Amino acid sequence: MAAIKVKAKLKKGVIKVKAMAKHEMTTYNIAEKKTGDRENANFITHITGTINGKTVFDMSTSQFLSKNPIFKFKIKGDEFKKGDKLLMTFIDRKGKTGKGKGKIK
Amino acid sequence: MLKVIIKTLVLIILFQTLSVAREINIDKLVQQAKSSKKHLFVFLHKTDCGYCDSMIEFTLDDDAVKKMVDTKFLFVHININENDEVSYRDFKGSGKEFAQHVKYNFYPSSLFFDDVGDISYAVPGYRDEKVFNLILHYVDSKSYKKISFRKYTERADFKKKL
Repeated sequence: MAAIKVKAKLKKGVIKVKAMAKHEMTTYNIAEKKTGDRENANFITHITGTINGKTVFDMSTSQFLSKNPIFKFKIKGDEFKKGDKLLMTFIDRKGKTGKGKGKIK
Repeated sequence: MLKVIIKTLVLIILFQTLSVAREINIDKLVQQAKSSKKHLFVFLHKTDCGYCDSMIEFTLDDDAVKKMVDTKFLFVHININENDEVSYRDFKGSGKEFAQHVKYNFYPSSLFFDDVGDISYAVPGYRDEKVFNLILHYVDSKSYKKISFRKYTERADFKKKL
């Protein structure tokens, strides 16, 4: 199963995107509580979204997001059409990446 | 001047509280659903609940699920953090009290009522769109009267409905 669930809808020239990243999002405090070492914290640090190779979304994130965080954003849809694929990728603190793609409907 | 500001603020808060509160009469909704040959689908959720958000944003917003809910069910959502007043048979109270009354105070929970107002099938917890769509078909076909959901999913023909 994809690490990111992606949904994208094009309406009146605007693409509305919803994405849910499947990630534990372990904060420094939780890592210290559970393992005794703050360095075991692991959370998403960067998320990007591309359509046809063009970056449409780029965000640096921190530990202050919930477990399995949901992202919602809008993009101008002039350059894109229904059927194009939106690819979203995240990278976490340990360097692990997760991907997910969704067709623009 | 301060009095005027305070009065205005009180009025705004009062107006917002009144405008948000809804009266949800489950018995009336059951009758409404019965007359249109549908099941009443009550979705219990709360604010700042990750799995509730996932259910709302992905499961219930899925095209197939949406179509099924629109055509075969009468949908009502109850956010237990809002000031809704719910009545169901002898019970009258808030959304949270209603959830406790029907013993489904786990969020999110999906309750399906039959035409006499009993809970015919309930789904406590998060389900993804594929499983939830199957649950909707299971409830709509009234298969809960004959077989368990597990057996229903094991049937060979269920995939055709997806």
